[in-house]
Amino acid sequence: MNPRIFTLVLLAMLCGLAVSGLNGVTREKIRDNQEQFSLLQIKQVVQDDRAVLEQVDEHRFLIKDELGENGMVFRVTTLSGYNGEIILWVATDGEGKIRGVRVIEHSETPGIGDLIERPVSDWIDQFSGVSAENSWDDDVDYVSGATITTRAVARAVQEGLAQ
Amino acid sequence: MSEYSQIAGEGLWRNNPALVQLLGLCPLLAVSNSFVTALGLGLVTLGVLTTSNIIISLIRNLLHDVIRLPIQIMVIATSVTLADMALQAWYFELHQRIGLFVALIVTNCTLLGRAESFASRNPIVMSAVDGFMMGTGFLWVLLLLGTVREVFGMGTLFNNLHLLLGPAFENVTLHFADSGFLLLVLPPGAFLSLGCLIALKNYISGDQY
Repeated sequence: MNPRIFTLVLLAMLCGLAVSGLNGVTREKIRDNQEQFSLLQIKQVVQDDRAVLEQVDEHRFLIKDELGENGMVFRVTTLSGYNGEIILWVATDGEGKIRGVRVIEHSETPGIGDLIERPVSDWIDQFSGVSAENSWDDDVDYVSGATITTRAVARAVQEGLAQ
Repeated sequence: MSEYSQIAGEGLWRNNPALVQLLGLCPLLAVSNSFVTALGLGLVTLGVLTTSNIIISLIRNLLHDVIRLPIQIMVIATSVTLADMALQAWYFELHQRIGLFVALIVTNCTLLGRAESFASRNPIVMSAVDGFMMGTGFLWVLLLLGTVREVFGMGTLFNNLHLLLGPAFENVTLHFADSGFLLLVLPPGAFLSLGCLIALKNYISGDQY
């Protein structure tokens, strides 16, 4: 074999070994991190530390507390935002009222559309206590300058509730 | 010794990768919207650049013309992947913010530029110093841009520093104003502030173009 190709192949194998070696060390840690992160976000939405979450499928959890089944947490995604996907977790109680909503991923304009994110503004808290029966046009406070973003979030929550 | 101070001067000022060579602009412009992301990506770039320079210099005798470029790219891609996995495992929250750009370090031409023009021709220690100085040159420009854009764009400084340095730094955020000149945080602000910085650099060194 041409010695240069041999060198190239040998170095490629070394690089591959290094990558798979570190992958072996970090794989479980990374998976743990990701699971903990999504669980932490779901807990924030439920706003009840004693509640137990029972997974239904990838996007839905049942909330169980001492009284038994008490609402559920589900994930909704919308594309009607200003820029790309907005992913939300919505938690409801047994009567169909919203416990809480959290945006977990979005790429709205920083400084304008990011008010849907909890640390940035408490806009998202207004959904707590709202149910599908409320009039969504009157009761939700849309924000001028970020109309598209806030409307997309509200509509996604409303449609998620309806399901 | 003067050789090393020559290398340091090249990396930090005279031939600064961000201000003079204008390499690695994609990550530079993208993450310089706040101090923390700038610091995070700057440090990762610094580490990867030094590592790849050392490795390339170690194997420089094997780098025949025909296989030189693929090997250099492979070494760079490997060190970036390793850094990416390490970040995901030990600095997960920071990775959530800058993860997208860590992968982009592979395309940061500073790395290939230094591998090609310096590390493949010079001994290990000198290559390491060159990588470190070039990386530091990139880091300080990134930090300065990050500071300017965060202070004037958002009215804060050191926001979210605890993501990088641990919970002890939870409350070090400085607030100057409630809101800022938003344009600076958005992509155009990156071009504007980098342009001003380059102009300032040229003014100070008295370059005429």
